[in-house]
Amino acid sequence: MIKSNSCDEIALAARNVRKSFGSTEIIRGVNIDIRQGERHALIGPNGAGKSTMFNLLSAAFAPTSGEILLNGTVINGLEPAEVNRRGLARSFQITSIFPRLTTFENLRIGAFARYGVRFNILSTANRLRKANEEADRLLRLVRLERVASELAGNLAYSDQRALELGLTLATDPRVILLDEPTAGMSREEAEYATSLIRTVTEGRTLLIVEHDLDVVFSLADRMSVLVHGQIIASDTPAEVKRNAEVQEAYLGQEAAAC
Amino acid sequence: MTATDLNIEDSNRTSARKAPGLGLLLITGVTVLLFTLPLLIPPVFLNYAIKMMVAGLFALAFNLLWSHARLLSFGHAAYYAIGAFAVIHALSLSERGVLSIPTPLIPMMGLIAGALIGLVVGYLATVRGGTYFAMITLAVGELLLSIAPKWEAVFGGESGLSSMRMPWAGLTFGMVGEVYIVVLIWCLFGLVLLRWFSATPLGQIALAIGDNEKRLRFLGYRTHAVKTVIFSLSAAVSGLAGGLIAFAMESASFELFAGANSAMPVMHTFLGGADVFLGPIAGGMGLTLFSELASNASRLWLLYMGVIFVIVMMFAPEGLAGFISRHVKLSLTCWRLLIADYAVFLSGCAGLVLSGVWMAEVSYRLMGTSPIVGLTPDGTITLFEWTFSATSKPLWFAAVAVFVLSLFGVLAAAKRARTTWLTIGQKKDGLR
Amino acid sequence: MEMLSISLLNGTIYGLLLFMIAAGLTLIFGMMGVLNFAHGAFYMLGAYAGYVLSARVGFFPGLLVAGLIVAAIGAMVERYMLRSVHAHGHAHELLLTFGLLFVFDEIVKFFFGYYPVSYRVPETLSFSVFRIGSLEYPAYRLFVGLVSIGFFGALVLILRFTRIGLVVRAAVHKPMMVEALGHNVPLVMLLVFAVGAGMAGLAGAVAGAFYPTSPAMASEIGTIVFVVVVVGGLGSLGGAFIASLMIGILTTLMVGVDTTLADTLSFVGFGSWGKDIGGIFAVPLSASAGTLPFALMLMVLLLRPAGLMGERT
Repeated sequence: MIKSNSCDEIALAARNVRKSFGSTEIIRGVNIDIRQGERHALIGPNGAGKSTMFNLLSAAFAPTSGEILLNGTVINGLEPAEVNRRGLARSFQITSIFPRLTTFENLRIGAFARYGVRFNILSTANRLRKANEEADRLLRLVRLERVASELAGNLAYSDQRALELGLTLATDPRVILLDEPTAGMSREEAEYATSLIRTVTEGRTLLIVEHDLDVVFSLADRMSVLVHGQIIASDTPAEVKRNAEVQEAYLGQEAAAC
Repeated sequence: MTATDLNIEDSNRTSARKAPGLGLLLITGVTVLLFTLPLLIPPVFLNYAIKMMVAGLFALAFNLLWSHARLLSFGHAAYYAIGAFAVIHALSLSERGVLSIPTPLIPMMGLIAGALIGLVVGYLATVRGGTYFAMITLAVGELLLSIAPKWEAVFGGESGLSSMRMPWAGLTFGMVGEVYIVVLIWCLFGLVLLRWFSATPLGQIALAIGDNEKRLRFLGYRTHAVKTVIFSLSAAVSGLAGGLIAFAMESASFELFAGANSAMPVMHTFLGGADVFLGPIAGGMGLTLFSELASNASRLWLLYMGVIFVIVMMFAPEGLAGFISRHVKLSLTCWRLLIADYAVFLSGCAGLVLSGVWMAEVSYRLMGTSPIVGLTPDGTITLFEWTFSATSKPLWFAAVAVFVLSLFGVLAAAKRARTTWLTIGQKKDGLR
Repeated sequence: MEMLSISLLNGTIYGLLLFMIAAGLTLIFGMMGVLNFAHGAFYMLGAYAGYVLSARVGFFPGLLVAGLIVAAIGAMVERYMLRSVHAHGHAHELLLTFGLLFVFDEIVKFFFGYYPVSYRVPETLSFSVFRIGSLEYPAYRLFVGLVSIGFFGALVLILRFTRIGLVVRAAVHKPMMVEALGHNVPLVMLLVFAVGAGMAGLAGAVAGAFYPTSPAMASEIGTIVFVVVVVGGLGSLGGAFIASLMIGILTTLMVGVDTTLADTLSFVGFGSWGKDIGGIFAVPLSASAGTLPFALMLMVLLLRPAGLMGERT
């Protein structure tokens, strides 16, 4: 594969990405660079195409044209499973867990994938020491020990969100994509979630799509602003705040809504 | 609704934590009983027992797909039948001395044949989920059904194939008791295999597929491959079940492919209770026993089964085992409040069944559509050694009265019990 | 040649009949996402209702009333059974209709026995309309075709040019959206279910006089109509129309062909090899007419799962 030195520090990138649904073009030529190890936020007003962009970056959708690069390798058109094996994991905006499994078992499913025991039918799941230890570690990481043996379907909403985060981490990805991780949470819950995200993504690359600007400004090292399917700014939060175009297109609107 | 849902899950977890000693004792007891059965009951009933166990195993194999991956197959007769034919061919090969496998191991051929065909069909069928999966399995089933009678060499044409069990190690397999033990051992093997599977990583992954396949893909799983393997396992155990029937009957015909055989595990599983491990077994064994007994007594057995199935789907979609276990657990805490309602409900059900069956059987004879059962020339009927006039007004009046009263009782009791639970549920919520 | 044109005509008429049954099934699937296993039973109930009524109220009024009765049964099934199971998910709805097929089958056996009943074409229509060569063509077949065409036309007109038709077409694609717009979707569903069942019932009443009326007809026609709906594309009326004609004509034509697969192979020099294998290779194609629809369905499901004209994947 083509791999130049300059690309090495870019973990995830979009190159001239376009996406149309029918005759409507939602993403109109997007370029993003997400650097190795940074926490990057993607923001934008409703209908700007954030979710579509998120799905493109996580290879859930294939772009109409352009390329998505993970560590310098094109990943568009790959199976989600393959993309995950290359070190990219994503969360879902609508909680996406396994309700008939316990919290612990949910996380262990991720650990199985990591240790390659998918088709094992020769030993019971409880006997696989490594996977169980890893699940325990994840459980502590997302602070869900107290509900370890509850069925995930019965967890409280904020616990389910934490589990969602834990599942995303379970395959030990280098690049993590989080889709509105604090959506539908109260202020305290969102603060808790933010601190959790900060700890668990330590040393990894993070792209987060988020509505809550408090969360964004407290988490992100850099951010990109998506408006009408195009990136209008990509910089540090402080710089983005000062950007007049952004203020008009996005922050002004938010302020008006308040 | 939420209150009861929570309670189901609660009870699931507690049942897992139950003292292992009692369960082990129960399992040992039942196993010992099953193995000593040939000494206890006459051969006719042993034949029933064979059919029951096989039906239970078949339903369990079918339900592997549904209970784990939420895949609903409407063509499982295919794997059952192919397993049966594999065993018949293996039997006749060993009869001719071409193949030398110990006779009790021959049902293994059904397992292998089922696994192989399951791998192929599973690969094709699990490309899609939901309705498409159901349709593909149905299409494959119908396809094989339409081909089978025309392929003489493999399926023996319209008349089918038959063969004989060869003696082995001093056992002649001429007596039903010996056959029963072989079938029992294989059924227990299948049961343990499926139970074991649920506890393995792949079993857990299969469950996760049923819950949220998309998420699993984003965790790095190629779910199509996983589904293919589960399908193959389900087909393998179905093949084993078919093979056991062929082993017991020493014959197989293309009719094994018929839709009725695909319908059987569906009915058994969902009547029994798909999400309780023993549900399909209970459904398969119970309904097979009833149909063996009832088909002698009544020509309307299939009608009753259909009506019960529809009623259960409408009012107890978790199946009878699920329904009963939920109610037992729910009411353990507050049985005093509920016992009267339960008594009314149960006697109402009994009343409905008795009066309903009586009316159905008598009017069936009055219709005169059956070539087998009918009225005597003087217009009387004998049911269970009770002779009466089919058009007797008092009897009909009584039957209708019992039916209406029972219906009313059942509805009222169900309504009252529901209110009681809701109040208890609210109290529990209040305590939290 | 005469055989061929007769077969083509027969196949077309059979196809039209299939469409009359399949139309309701595919619309119901589009709106509810449920493939109704019991749909074939509606066809059978129509035939039996026609049989009973034609003897009492005359043949043609009997057909009409039979259709109405089955429509009413359909409405009750939707209103009192399917709707209450809806909360438990599609699988349970599928299972319920599966159970209903079973029950309807047994009920028919209860009242009419296992063997075909003598439901006959009325005197007024038992003559031959025309001759092709030495073969006479029965008027009743044409009547079956005309009724089907009439219903096809009426359905298209209603769906294209009436308000309710517009709502139905919209609801087939986006039921939630249509409900959000303030339309009474449950009522529309009830209506579609009833009309679909009624059409199947009427088709049964019309066809039952010509083809044998027996308890087996429910599952026979039921599975063929399944094939039609899947091949045409679940939820697509146009697809169902094309698939109906295709399957009607193909199966009718195949019945008349005596070639075997082995014969076909001999064109490329493998004839004796094919005959040696025997089995399916030595069976005349005519005997495989029953196999064809399922092979076709399997092919479509695997190659183009959305069907010929379906949108949903």
